[in-house]
Amino acid sequence: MKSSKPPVLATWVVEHMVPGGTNDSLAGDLLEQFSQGRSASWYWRQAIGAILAGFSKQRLILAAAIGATFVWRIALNELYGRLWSTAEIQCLSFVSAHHEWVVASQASWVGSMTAFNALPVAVALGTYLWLEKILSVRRFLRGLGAGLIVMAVGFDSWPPSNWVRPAFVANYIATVPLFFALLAAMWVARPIHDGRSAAKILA
Amino acid sequence: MSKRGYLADFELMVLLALMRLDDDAYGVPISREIERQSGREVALGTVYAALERLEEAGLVASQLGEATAQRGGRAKRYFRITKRGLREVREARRALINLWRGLKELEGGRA
Repeated sequence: MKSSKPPVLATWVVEHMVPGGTNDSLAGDLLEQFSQGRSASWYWRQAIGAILAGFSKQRLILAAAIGATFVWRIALNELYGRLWSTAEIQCLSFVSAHHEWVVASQASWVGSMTAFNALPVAVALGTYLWLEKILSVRRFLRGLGAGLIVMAVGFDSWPPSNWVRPAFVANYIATVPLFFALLAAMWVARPIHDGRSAAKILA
Repeated sequence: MSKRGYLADFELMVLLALMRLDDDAYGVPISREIERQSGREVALGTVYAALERLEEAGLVASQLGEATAQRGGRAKRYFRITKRGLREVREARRALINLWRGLKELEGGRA
């Protein structure tokens, strides 16, 4: 039997997850169609399709996140390669591998990783806002805050990848939280078109 | 030729649907009109994504209409083509007709 109520979660997804300024109208259209006999599975398909269609509009964010992640990873590989040749780093690495007391607590590790990776998030976010011509301190800080929160959660919950071989693959896997942090930072700071300018044209 | 470049297939279909619907052009009738004329199912989200692109380019304008209980109190957003949008459609039509003209493979209704 067909449910008389539309899936609440799908409605929430359309209203909150679909990029763009027409979510409310889109949600209304879906409800209208549902009340005229469409099924819950149709409703869900439309909700997911709307998210995908909306994301395809934000190609710059996706490209910037992928680009910044790769550039940062390559820079780190280069940096580690140079540092590894120094005796102090080799000594420190040996000590940390053989003495548990050197390994910092999870919280401080997450904190230090987040702070260390804040640089590429800040640079990529600033570049994105500049390219979109919407650079402002408030927007920048909002995006940076979102990025850092996602990164801290990501580093806290992302499984260790040091068992993965070859090592360069493990390095890229370890960079995944940074990628999602970049996405979140630019997503939160993105321009939202609300159609008000168009309403002026009509008026 | 316009600076924006050519209209994509789906954008052109959306603009033509808007012109056919005239004053009743909001998401549901637009998607139905495209489905009826093309014979393919169209996702509402895809229609809205195209409409937003067109609106940002100034080819379409929108305004909020009435909210109804059937829509959970959410307002309809009515769209209409702008003069610039009409110019783009005419330009696309002219270019497509020129390209189609004289193609032996398409004569007699066989592809």
